[in-house]
Parts: sequence; structure tokens; C-alpha cells
Amino acid sequence: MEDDKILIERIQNGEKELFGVLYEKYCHKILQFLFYKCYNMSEAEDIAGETFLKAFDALGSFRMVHGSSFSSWLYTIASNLFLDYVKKKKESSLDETAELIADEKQKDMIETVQISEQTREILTYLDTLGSEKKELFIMRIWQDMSREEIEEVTKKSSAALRKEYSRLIQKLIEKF
Amino acid sequence: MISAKPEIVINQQWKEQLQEKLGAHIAQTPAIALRPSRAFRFLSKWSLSFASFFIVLVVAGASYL
Repeated sequence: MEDDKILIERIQNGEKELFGVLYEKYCHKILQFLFYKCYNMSEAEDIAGETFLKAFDALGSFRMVHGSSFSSWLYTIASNLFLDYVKKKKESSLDETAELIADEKQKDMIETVQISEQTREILTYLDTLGSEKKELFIMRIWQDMSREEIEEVTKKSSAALRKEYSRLIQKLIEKF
Repeated sequence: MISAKPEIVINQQWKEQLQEKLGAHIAQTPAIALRPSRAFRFLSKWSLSFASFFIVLVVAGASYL
């Protein structure tokens, strides 16, 4: 986090090429995060690309104040872009049936990553719990993000997140 | 079991293409656009608004008298 702070200050002071270091550092994580959310690699790649371009353009407005981090700011951008993408997709695919979309997702997932049957079951179950809970699960369990970082991305209080997280884990334990 | 995350393999071709795109974008962007706005700019904006308001008040007061 301290490294990011120094890098960002240097970028803001004119060494703009250093943004490539941040890209190298977070590219895989952001792509992974988006893939878990949409199960579609080409869409995850598109949104990840947009995320980095947008983050670079908005870097002047980024402040590394107490407790905030560049990674959570980046995740927030990715998450918002994903929501925009879902909205657009819903508008453009009103005539498509939900099953068809779900089948395509499953197919893409099987082709792109090697996942176990159990993991697939978990992802399908998380879909039924809603996007917020799914995002919380992805960030905390699969992305190893700290509670503080998740608080920043979700804009929720520590107490609310703790409660939501323990309920979610309870549900998953009961189910699996 | 729930912590067993599906590992994705990054497409190197995509990564390089994005790196190039980003590089071109970075080169096009003037360094000044990345500078954080300073507090005094924010303050001067407010002082400008306050000054305009004050002038309007003086003009309105003068015309009333």
C-alpha cells in the first residue's frame, strides 16, 4: 500500500509511464474479480481494459487519505463498470431468454477455466443470493481482500459487513 | 471447500494488447491532467463565488438606496 502511494505521487507529479507498474500489479486480480462476477472471459477482459483506462484518466482526483487504498479504488471502478455493463446488457437482450444466457455463461466458464463441480455449484448458489453477497464472497474469500478494503469498495460499515459476512458463511456452510 | 477458488489463466496476448493501448493512451495524456487539484484552487473557487455574491449584494443595496 505504501509502494502504491509513492508510485501514485510520482505519476501525479509527471512520471506517467509508471502507471504500467500498477497495471502489472493489479491486472490479474482485476481480471479475476470481473471474471468471477460475469463468468465470461471476453467480457471480463473488456471491462478490465476499461477499468485501467478510466483509473488512469481519474488519477488526478485520487487521494490516498488515511485508510484508503489504490486497490480498493480500482475495485470500485471495476465494480461500477460491471454494473453499467449489466444494465446495458439487460437493455439489449430483452428478447433473449434467461436460460440461454445462463447456458452461454456455463459454457464459457467450462472452456476458460478448469473448475471443480463443487466450485461451479458454489457460484451458481451465490448467483441466487444476489450480486452484493456474491461480490462480498469473491472479495473476501477468493481475492483475499482486507476488511478495510471491502468497506471502501462496498461503502458499508464494518459492523454491517461483519454481520452480512457471517450470515453468508453460515448459509454456505449449511448448503455445502 | 468454499475457499478453493477457480484459478484463471491470463491471456498473454490480451494483456500485451491492453498494455499497448494503455501505453498509447498514457503517451497522449498531458502530465498536467494527472496533477491533483490543490486545496487553494478549491478555495479560490469559493472565494470567487463569495466575491460575486458580495458584488451583487452591494449593487442591489445601492440601487435600493
